[in-house]
Amino acid sequence: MLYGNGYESVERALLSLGRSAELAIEGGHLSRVEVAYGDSSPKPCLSEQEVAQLRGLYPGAVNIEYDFFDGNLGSARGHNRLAANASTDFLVIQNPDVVVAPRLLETLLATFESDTTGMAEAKQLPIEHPKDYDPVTGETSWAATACAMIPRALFERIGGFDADTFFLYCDDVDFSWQVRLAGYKVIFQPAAVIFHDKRLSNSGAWQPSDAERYYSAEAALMLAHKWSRADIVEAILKDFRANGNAFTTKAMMTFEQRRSEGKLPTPVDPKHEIGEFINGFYAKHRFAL
Amino acid sequence: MTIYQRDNTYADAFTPISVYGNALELLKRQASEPNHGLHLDIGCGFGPIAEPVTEALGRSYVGCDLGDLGLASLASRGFETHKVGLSDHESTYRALNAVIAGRPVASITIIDTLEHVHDPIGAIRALRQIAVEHHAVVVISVPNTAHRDIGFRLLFGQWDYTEAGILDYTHRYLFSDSVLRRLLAHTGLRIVDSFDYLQATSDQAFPAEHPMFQWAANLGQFMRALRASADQYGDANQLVRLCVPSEPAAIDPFVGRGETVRPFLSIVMRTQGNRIDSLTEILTCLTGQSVTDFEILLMGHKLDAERTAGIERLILDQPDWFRNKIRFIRVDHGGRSAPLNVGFAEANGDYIMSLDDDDTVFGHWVETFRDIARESPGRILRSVAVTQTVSRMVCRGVSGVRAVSKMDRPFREDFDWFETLRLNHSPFMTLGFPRGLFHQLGLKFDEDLSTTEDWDYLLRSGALVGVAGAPTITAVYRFWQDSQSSSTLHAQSEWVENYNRINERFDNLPTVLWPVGTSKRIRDLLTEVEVLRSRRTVTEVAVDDSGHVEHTDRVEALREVVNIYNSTSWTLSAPIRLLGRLAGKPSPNLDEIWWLSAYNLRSLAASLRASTSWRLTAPLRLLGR
Repeated sequence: MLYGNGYESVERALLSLGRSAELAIEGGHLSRVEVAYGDSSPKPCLSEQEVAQLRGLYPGAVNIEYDFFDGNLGSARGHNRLAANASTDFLVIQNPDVVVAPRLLETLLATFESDTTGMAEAKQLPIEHPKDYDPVTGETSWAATACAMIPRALFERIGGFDADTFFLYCDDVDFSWQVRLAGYKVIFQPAAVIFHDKRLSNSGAWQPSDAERYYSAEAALMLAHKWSRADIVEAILKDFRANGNAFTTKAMMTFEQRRSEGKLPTPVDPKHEIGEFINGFYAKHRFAL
Repeated sequence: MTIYQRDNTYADAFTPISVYGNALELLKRQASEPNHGLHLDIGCGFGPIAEPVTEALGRSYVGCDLGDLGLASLASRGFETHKVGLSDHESTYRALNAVIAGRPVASITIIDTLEHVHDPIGAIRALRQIAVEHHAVVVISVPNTAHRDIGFRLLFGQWDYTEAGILDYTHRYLFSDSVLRRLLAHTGLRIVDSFDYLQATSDQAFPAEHPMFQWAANLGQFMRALRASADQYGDANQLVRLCVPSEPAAIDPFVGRGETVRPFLSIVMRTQGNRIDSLTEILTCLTGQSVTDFEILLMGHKLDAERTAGIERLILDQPDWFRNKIRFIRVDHGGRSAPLNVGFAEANGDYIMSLDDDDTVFGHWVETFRDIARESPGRILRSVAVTQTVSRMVCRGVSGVRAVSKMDRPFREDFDWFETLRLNHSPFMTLGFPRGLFHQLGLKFDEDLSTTEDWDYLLRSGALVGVAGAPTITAVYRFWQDSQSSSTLHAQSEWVENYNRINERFDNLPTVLWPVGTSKRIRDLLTEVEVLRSRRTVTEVAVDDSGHVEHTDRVEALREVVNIYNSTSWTLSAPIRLLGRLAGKPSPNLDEIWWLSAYNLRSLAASLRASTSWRLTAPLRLLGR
């Protein structure tokens, strides 16, 4: 999904992704790779000429599709729309500017040699996600879609991302839990590496964007509601009321409005067998970020 | 056309310790078995090597020159001579071939002659042609215009020709090691042995009172140490080289005016090939840099075939644009510093940085250093790293790296030179070194250090060019929880030994340019030390050997005096007392008060309170209440 991305960053990412596709095809792991860009920007962020240039990078290995949505669909709906046109066996949901290691695709694919794998996530650098995973099996609570691989059939069976509930954040957490609810495992593979250009402040703190603050606050309420954790919903609301800021206040109002309009999703996992809400996170964390 | 004629300026007799002695030594080293061919001595002058060449090598000496006096001297000593001048290639070759007259030639010397000729390239070509035809060796000697004495004089605007010596007024060409090497490579002579004639003090070391030529003067020491670091020819009076013919190199005889196009950054990355997983990670981080104006020198250190293959495969895996930035260089000698020296020598970038194969960097790592360089060109560039502990694990059969701790920021945000003298707050991957440090000043890594080679290099190079920093976090310095890194591999005693070695050497280094503000910092530190020492001593004085605390009038009086000395107003009024001391007024000495009696201490306190400086600063004490 593109939103105001510059051509250079998209090209650099594709140069690495295309190379990974070439290697996976050469190694017999894949037969073809299609890269579908969905553009939610107010104006197309890639010109026709630039799209043509992208198509010329790996003409033998990668087929490029570009779709300008003429509206901001958010990540969940945008990815669903792109996936609806896919005909491949596997989908990789990926940020358009992440740079992948050369053997990324085949390393992620290898996790599906086990029939129980439903979703496989790559490791982000230089800021590694703190959520815990089994160091031997890679099993984890959820997978971030900065770069995650899913069998298309499973994606369709689940119904894709819940675009009615999630706009930008937690659509991947929810989807991961749906995968697990369907009986599959979510796997984190630390040997599958991507570079995601996230930076720290000079004090060493994580620097969330405004959109990240707002949509993650909104998504936190939605996720807790959907996964039958009314106690968490109330705790979040209480916290937002006591310590809120402009972002959390707006998120709270949106949630309350949807609740009053009966537009909240139907809760699932009533016995809390899948969803994990631990200290404000959706998995046990190995360390603080 | 003969264009060169010398007089009897150089009518030197042979001595073993001379340029002639060195030339003969080179010939003797090369002559593994007797060769009774000719020895051509081109520009022979009075032929001081005629007898020793004949005696030591059994060769038939033939002297060639234009100077009648020299030729006559040689002839009178029974040697064959020819009046031959050096001009262009063809003429010189024909003239020398006529001298040879079909006889075999074993060796040629051309000592202190090329600098006089109009066409040194033509002359060398002619000598090479003869050397090729006769399988002969050629010994060339030229005066070294890059002797440090000439550079030191020129630095202060002094340049003078002399009647004889390195800058003999008859010299047409000026040589240095690089000039000579370039000409020889261009014409097709390969240097196979060297024995330069050294003069610590050359004929250009004048006037003797110049501080650069005074051996104990700080300036001279500083510059000599710098020059000695740059290359080994600073005290070479004459460059004496033994050459054999080779293919002419495809380089111009003289340096062109075109600027070399360099990348901004050379990244020297050491790897032993045993961490392909983390090497993959750092290469991926570099692939994602916002500024890509860099090259990577991947230094494979002591690799076996399997590890070499693993690295080569990883390089081949990279996308074309990125692969083309990588040079894989194997280094099979030395410790941790050896691949650094090779990598820095090979680096083409304006700045050079080192990464280890287990580091990771943020997307603006290169960009940040580029921005600092634009602000402060020529300084060492510095940013900040966070630390994180990681462990190696095998997940689903594949080796990977797992972060096991949060990111910490233990290093100083700013660069403090004085702190760096005690402790390194700048991990290697947060430092960018201007290439001139290594390539022009010749600052190399100490290959005898098994650890902290980066701190040592920072100290020595930072002392010359300074450090410019940004507080930006650009890298992750990883600690391994359960496997090897330099911090776990080396014993504590080894770290201490290296630490002491670095300190000792730096303490004796004449080449330190202290940063602006140093004098104030030293004053402040001395004041602080004085205050702290005073406070400690009061306590010590009040406690006897058995630990009994003295509560006496004397201690109270002592405390009163010390409190005055330590007060802000007393410190601030120091300049007033300094004026008094300069005017000859006696002033109490702090070091002398500790064993004074209670009575004397009370008297001293009274006199201090009555002093001009104490009275003038009374308002300060009032403000402090």
